[in-house]
Amino acid sequence: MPSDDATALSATLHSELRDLAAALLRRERRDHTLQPTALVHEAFLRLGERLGPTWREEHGEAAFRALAATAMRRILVDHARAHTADKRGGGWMRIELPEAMVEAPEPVELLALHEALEALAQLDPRKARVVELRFFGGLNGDEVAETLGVARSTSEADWFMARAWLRKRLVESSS
Amino acid sequence: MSRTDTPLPGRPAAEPSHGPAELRFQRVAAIFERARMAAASEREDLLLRECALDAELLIEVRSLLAHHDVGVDALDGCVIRPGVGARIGRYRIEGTLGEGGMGTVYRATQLEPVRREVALKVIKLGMDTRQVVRRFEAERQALARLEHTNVAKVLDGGATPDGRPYFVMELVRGSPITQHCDERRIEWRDRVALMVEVCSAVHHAHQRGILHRDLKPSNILVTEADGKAIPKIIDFGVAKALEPGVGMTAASLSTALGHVVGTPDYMSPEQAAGEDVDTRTDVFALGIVLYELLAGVTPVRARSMSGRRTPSPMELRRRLLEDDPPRVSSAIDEERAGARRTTAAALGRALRGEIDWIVLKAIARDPARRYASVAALADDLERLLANEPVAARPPSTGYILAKFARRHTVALVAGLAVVFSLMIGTTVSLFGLRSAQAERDVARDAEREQTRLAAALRGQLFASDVERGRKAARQGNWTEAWQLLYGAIEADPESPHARWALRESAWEQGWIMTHRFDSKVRFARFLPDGQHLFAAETERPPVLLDMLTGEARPLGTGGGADVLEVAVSRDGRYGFTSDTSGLITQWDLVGNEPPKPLVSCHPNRGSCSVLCDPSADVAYAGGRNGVIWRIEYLADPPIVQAIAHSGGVKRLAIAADGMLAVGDDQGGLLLLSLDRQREVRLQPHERSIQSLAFGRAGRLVATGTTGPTIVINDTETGEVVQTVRSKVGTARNLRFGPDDRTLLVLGWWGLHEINLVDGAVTTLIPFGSWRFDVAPDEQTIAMTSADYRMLSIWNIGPDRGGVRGVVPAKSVTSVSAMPNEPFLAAMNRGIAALDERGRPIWHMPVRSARLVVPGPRSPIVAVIGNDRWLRVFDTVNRKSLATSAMPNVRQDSSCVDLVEDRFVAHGTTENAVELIDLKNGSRCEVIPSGPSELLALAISDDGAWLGASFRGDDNRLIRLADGAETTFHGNTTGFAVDFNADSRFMLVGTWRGDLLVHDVQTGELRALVGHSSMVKVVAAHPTDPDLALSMSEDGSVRIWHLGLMREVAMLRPFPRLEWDANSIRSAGWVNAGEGIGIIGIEGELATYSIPMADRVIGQWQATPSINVDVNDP
Repeated sequence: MPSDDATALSATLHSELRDLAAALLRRERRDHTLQPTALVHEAFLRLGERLGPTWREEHGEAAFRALAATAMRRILVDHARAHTADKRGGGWMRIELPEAMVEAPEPVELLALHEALEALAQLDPRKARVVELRFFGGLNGDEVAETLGVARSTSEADWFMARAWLRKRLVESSS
Repeated sequence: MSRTDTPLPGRPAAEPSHGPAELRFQRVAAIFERARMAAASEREDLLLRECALDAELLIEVRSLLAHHDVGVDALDGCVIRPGVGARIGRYRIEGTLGEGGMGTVYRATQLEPVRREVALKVIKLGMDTRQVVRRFEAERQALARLEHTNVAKVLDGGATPDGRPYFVMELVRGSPITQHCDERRIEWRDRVALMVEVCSAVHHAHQRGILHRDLKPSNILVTEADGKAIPKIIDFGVAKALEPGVGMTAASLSTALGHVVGTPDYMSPEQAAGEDVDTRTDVFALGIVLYELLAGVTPVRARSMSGRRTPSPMELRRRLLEDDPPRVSSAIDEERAGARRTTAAALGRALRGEIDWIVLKAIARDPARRYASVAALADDLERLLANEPVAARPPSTGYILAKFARRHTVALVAGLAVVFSLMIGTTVSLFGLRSAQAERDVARDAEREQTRLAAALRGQLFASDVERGRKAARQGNWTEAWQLLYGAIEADPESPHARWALRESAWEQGWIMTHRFDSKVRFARFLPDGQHLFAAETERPPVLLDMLTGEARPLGTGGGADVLEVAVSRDGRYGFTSDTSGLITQWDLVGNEPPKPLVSCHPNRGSCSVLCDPSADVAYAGGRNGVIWRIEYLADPPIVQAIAHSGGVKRLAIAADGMLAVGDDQGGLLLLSLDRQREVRLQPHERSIQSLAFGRAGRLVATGTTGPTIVINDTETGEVVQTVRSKVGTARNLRFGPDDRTLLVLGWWGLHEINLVDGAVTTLIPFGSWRFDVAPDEQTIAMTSADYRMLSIWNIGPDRGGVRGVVPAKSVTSVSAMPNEPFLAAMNRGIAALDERGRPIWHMPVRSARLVVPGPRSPIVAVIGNDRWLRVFDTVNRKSLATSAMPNVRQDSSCVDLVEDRFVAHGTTENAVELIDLKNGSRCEVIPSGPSELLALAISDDGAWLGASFRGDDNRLIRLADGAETTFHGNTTGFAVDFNADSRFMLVGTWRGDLLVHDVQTGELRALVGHSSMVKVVAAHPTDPDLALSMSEDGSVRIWHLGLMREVAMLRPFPRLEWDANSIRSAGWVNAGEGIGIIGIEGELATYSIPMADRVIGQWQATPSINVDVNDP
């Protein structure tokens, strides 16, 4: 589990991440080369810098990614929104994650996923967090369990339920 | 905890309020969880029990379970590292092998040019990717030479789409050497023996100038084969590429220091200090591994064991630089001794003394005090095992002096070795070389000589690699062939040797062409002409693709649809598409009718299939809503009617008698007879049907599902006739062979033919694909690639090779390959140009044409008639240029040649050689009367030389300016003559099979060996002076490179049994030298296109970074 100062850091980082996302987006508009994939990795790098070189060593990779998960989600969602607003004069549109980022029979529609996750968080915040950690943070089952301080089987059960629920919702909202 | 960690705004910060929605959700989740864990058979009971009287709850949980059962999808991936199924370059991720300081190691499948399992290491963020890739590229050649059983080959490297470096290595299934030994409680002697093997591998690399720089147990894996432990060293060359260099950011540098280059435990002091490294750095690391293998702990950690605290990296580094390590024998405790089948005391005793010395010598802080090479360390270890005295000595008072002497001895020995190698290369005398100047001269000369030798050696190695690649390809050993040939072309993209070898293999495999699309294309179908294909892209309008030219004609403008299937009407007039929006659209393939939307098969996304009846002007379609539509497409507007209903339609198939098969997404199969009087419903599968095909006789229907099972039912009785375990993965597409005894099955790994009688599987095309279609000739196959971006066309006929055709009519008396058309035929009533398939392009009436002799470059041909008249035609303007009666002309094409449109040389029945100027009709005898039978003649393109071969090894070269004559002999009779394009070489094909190359300027003569029997045709390339081909009675056509003076390709288009190898009538360059045309003894035509092969090679060389969709929508 991340230590208390990590939790505190997470809170203070939150507003900074917004700024970071905005900065990255400005850059993207300037050179038009920053794809979502690169965006995520850039953010990852910057977050690492922000935390300092020893943070990762002290707290471990999983803790770092757990922290990063929220940032990733934030940044991708902002990116998607800015992108759609840009293209369609503020209109609402779904943005797909590029296929290289996730294994994908069909690419994930990011804003739809984000919305669905919000709704899931209303019903069961831990399950939503499990998805966030896995999908946006890349944590595996054990790491999720450790991060959330629950048994492996619990994190597993949370994951399967959340996944099925999200799939169902995503399919229903797309038709 | 979890909530303070979920900082998205608007999220409740307190415990979830237990409102009705939340409670309901928890209930659903609880039942879902119980049902998920329950056995499939008990699930339904459990659901009914738990959801008693609450239908809504039941529906919801059932629906969630259905979504759960889908398996793995995008949500299982993650945004910060590739998920299973993701593509990195030409590799597909299959799973994670491990995570280390450097990054993540994946198990992956290389998809092309060969399919194999590899380990793929994606380096963490923070490195300068371009630098890493450049450094890796620089080392790549050297790495390719590492051939050692104990070294896992590094195969490839590059950058991921998001810019992280990756390395591809041979996949090793093993555990770190320390873990391996401890788990099996291997005793110390065997551990030392294992290390000797490791040393030999490292030494092998050192001899090739490659340092490892990051040797540690996790990079020395042990696999077991036949009960024998085999150590494999991984990551050779990786550490060097990852070294911090200029251009790194401060952040990445700190990452590098912390994690990337070397784990502190195994890092030598000079590495930690950032100083230069050499072979002794690897000696140090091996010493530490040996230490750990014996003592169970690394030296820097040996101290802290009592303290029970893991030392920090900083602390480890300090110890490494400052402390003397404790001896191995003193670092042992009982637990670790137990893992070596002994006690601490006994092990300590065993290790005390010599082995302590060896390890201490290997891990000495000062590199000069270590073993000078890994070989020396291995030697000492072997001596130890053999109980011989070792070289390592305990430190003593005489230590410094002794070491000084030793160091100088080493230098002396090294110096001697260099001189020795020079002597072998240059036979330099060592006597009298006393002065420094003389030594420098010798050194400089020797250096030059070494450079020259090295270049020659590299050239030889390169050539031998290419030849090994060609041989491997001929034996069907594609893995090796591709590795060697693509390696060669990457090393030297300009090499004609490698280029031709690749062309040869592309032709050999039956590749006809590859077409790359801008967006997804899932399916293409042949038109009845077998030459055009109808294909639909997702982001562009559908296209008509010409297989011969590679040109794609878009049908209309505008965007595309996400097309799933295409169909073509039986007359080739209309194409049909079904797309993910459920729409069936009709396209005019011939005229300009706008596309007609016909019917919508379902309101939402999902599968959708369309198909044309091959024996009626009717198409059928169906989609997720289960309605089967019949489309009469010739009517205007087309008549569309619903004829039946099934589950969600996944695939359709139609039998020769018009019976329609509908495979649905529940695994059900509906068979509808033509008159719709009979309906049979079968349930061959539990899961969605992926592929479907009728037997040719109509009585069998085969279905494939997700998974390896293919079920064949009898269409009359509905009974299962046969169940085939395909062994090739999910069958994406099926087709019965002509006699229903074989089944073509398309799996992820390629196209296979399964013999239904004995179950034998033959791989026809070794590349995975999505769907395929077979042309009417039953030999040509079009496949969309597994990533949907490419369409490749193959010949899978028994003879494979180039585009095939047949000389059309019986009236044809002879055929030649022609420089500006593919082929030229002499017929009873004229001459005709033929295309690759033998179809006439144009025809010119000529009386009683018997022989046509094309000029070397111009479109001028000489025609010799049965009436012994010689006529010369311009085939472009279709007019006669000259006519001449020649009662004594020899009716033999090898004895006639043309220069431009003016001169004709021909042999006479008296074996004289006559030259005719067609402008003024003047004639002269160049060779008044030959010494024996004239067999062949040629004039050089510049008109300067005439060459002729007579029976009895008599080859004449005559300078036409002054009639000067040279004779040369090849110890065998010449049967074919030509001059290369710049008129420098006279080429003679001989009875023995050699190709004689005679330099007309210098008189130098070379014999190139290749054919095993008589050469009947020699044809120089019309423009490239380096190229010529020869055709022999051994049934092969060989391409020769006159710059390299070697054979670069061999074609054997019509293989026969050995006793009847004479299967080729003629061969030549066609299409302005861009192809090779070969005419078989039975009138078969084969055309090998060079641009087509190069296109294919280029496309496979480029590594597209695209993703593979795992499921069909």
